[in-house]
Amino acid sequence: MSVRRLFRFAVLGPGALAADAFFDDIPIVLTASRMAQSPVDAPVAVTIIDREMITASGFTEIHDLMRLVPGFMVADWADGSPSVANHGLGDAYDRRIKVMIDGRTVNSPLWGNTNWQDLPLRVDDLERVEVVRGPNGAAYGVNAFQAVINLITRSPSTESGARVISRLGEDGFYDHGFRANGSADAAIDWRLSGSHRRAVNFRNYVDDGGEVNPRETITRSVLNLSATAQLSTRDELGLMLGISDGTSDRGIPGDLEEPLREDKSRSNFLHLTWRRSFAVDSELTVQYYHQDERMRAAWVNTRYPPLVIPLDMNSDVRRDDLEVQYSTTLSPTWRFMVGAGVRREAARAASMFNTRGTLSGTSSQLFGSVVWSPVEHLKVDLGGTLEDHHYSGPLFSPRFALNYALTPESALRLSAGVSYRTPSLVESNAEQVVRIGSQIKQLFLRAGDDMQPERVRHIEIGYAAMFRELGLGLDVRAFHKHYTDYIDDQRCFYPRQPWERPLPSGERFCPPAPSGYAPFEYDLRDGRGPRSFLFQNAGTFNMTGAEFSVDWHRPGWGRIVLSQAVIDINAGKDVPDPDFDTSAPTSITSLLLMKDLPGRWRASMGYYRHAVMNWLNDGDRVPEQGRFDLRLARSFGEPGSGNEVAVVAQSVGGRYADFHEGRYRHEPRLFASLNLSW
Amino acid sequence: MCRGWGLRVRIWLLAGLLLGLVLPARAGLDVAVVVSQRGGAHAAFAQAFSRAAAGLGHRVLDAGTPAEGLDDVALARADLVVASGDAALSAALRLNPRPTLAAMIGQARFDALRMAHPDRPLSAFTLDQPAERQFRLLKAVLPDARRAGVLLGPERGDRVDLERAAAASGLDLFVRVIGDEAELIRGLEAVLRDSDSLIAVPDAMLSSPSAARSILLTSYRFQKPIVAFSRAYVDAGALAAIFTTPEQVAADLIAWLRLQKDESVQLPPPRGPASFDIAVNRQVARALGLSVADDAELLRLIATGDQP
Repeated sequence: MSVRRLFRFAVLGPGALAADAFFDDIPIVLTASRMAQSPVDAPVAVTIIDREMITASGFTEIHDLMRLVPGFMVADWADGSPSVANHGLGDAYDRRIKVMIDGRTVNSPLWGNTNWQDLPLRVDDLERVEVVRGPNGAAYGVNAFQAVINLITRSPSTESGARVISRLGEDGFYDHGFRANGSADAAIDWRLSGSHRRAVNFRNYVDDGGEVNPRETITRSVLNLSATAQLSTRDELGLMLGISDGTSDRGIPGDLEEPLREDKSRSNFLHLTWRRSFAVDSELTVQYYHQDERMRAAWVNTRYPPLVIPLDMNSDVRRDDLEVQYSTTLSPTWRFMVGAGVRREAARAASMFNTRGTLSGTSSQLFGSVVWSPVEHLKVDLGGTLEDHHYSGPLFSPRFALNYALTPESALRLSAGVSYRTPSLVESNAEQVVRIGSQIKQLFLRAGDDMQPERVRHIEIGYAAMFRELGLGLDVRAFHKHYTDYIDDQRCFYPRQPWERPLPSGERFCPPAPSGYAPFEYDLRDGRGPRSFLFQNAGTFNMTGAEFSVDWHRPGWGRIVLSQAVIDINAGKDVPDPDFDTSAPTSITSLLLMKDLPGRWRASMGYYRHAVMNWLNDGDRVPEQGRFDLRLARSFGEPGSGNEVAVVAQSVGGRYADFHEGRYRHEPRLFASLNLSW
Repeated sequence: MCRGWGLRVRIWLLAGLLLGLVLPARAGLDVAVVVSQRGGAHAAFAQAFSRAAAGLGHRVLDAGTPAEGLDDVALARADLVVASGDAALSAALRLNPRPTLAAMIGQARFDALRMAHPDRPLSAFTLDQPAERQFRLLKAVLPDARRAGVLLGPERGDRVDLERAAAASGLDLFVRVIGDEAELIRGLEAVLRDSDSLIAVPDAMLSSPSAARSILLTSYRFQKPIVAFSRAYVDAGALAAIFTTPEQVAADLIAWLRLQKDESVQLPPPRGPASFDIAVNRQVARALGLSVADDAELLRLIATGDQP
């Protein structure tokens, strides 16, 4: 079909096509890629957070939803983005979990982490979240190292009219949003959503020693457009674009080293897709996306007068990605998927990289999978991705999985594979400097030489079942992972005198400093002297654990979703960080209870508990603790309108230690919400 | 493919004509066939009907399509005009009044045309399945279903008949009527919230590609299966559908034609399809976590009204 004809088809609109209800073709809407794969059929452990759970949780930030996933931990701190970790290994930059929005990777090219609060997307835009709870480089390429989070937005063709969502709470919290949809009989389905929010995440916490710790108040505005045009019964064009813009007030009042400051962040994206559906299990998709992020965070340290030390974390980064994928069923026993992609990442961060230039790298990948059913109840799933990474070179991530159906609604699963995480631009290129004039006065983060990608060999055995007559879903698994070449930043020192030798304590010297390095006097006088943090491959370790989740639902009563994980990290002697073994709590529990009440009332309670643990690097110990959230809602207006008033109390047990017990206390929050459509 | 089908139709029509010429001893009927389109389902119907009617000794004439223009002479002398589809019937009704039998047409559209031509000798073999049949399919694929939802468009359908048929299958029915497409999503959400499945009806407005797309995506969002009325709906993502194929429509017409005397036609009252087929989207069933019986068992359950 010519392009011209395709567009005529679209412009004609649906009315022109409604000639023969019985025999006209209908767009193939529910293709395999659009539908969530049942945990019973999936080759790996998958958790689905559906719309009902999202609403009942009362969470207003997307990262908080990950508390509902077995084995996951969420932390926030006052000096940067919140962080999500699966099975520990978490620090301030959650670069081991791949996060995607409708197939678009959103991890920042700079650190490889996800800037959760700057995502141009809100919880109200989400249809569901699908979480692959383990390494899956075979399907998602390098950096799908600890987990893959797929955020799936609501199709504009499932909404109509206009809606306002307003949340107002104590301590100046507000979150006002709108959603507007195009006419249902138009040729293009579109939705425009926007919101503006402010939240005090951290107040200045004064610890037992009287030390004042940083605060954080964020303000963000988000605008998001999603549009789809059904060009023919087979072809669909999609356009998504969004922007998030805002400020974060950070720092400590009166402090000379970390004074109050206003960080400015902005992120934009454009995502274009073309999808040709041949059948429910056969389609071709082509997608291109662009995203860029801009951060402006600068302040001065005046702790050492008369020195005025300028510091910043300014950066501009962008990613462009083009991908094509084709999947089909060859026969009832053979199914395959194949695809290819190319991605360019670029970053400019003068302080971080000690250059005003732009660093960039282009990587390409080939990926595919084959599912073979040699006998009726058995599926053999072979998959792999070959990625030519701009830093690490060619890497192949394979996966083998067996799925044996015990009954139509229960299955045993065995999967094993190898996944990689390549060093981020910071890890591979950092030379973070503090300059005064032409001199480099301090060197913080530095990239190591010839770093190898992190590698994990993983194996798991699982059981998933749906007991429909009981309204019960069950997911159990045990896993073992072996990690090598884990990348960590380690302290190193610069010799104060040329003849100085490292101490036998194991402290090491840094690589030679770049020209122009003239450390501050106070650094030379302090302890071991001037120091940096050097990224290096730093160790081998094993991780073993088990998880289960139970999802029980009874119409008219409500629903209970309970999950539990037990994790044990056994670090080798070559892992220098003593907190490493306890970077995963031995036990993580989450419970979401939803109860239908008479008179269109609905109550829900979330409970999230973990054992004592250590967040790594900027983080520290947090004690064993639990968090209770409560939500009470009443719907009103005509059924199906979605109109609702609700009251949400988060962390009703009081404030709790987050990320670093000595520095951060997360505040309770009470707010009311109104959801009104017309 | 469409061109090939059109050619085959013409060959069979010609063969019918020749058969009529070489068998003068048997009078037979002059049957003029008008099709809405040369391709697709209408061609499949015309081919099946012409072949079988010729086999009965009738003279089958290709009377054209609305796009090509109709053969006035053939239509004027025909003992029976068979119009396949809405457009063909509309065009045929503008010409000389001959006994006309519509096929491959929905009940609502046929009723509208009949009202516009009250004096014409006119009847139809409509495509709409009896509501009871669709509910039986629902119970066969979803034995635990208790409450079925139906969204009706401006054509409204026969609500009383729907409620009676649902009750006969032991189902509560939740019906919502919408006036235009702007009310679609809200109407759907209201229906889906209170039902465990959705019965899709062949209302013209609700069957447009954009409306069907919204219905499919919204139903999936609510994790509620759809039981529909066409194979295309199943290909697009409905759980199951019950429908009559063009070949089955032709067979229904032929069964009636066998009973006609050679030189006169007594039009039957308008009737629905006697034969039907089903389709199930097994991937959608899997995605919704449903275990659905095989097609043969489903057909048995529908025929007998048994429940699994």
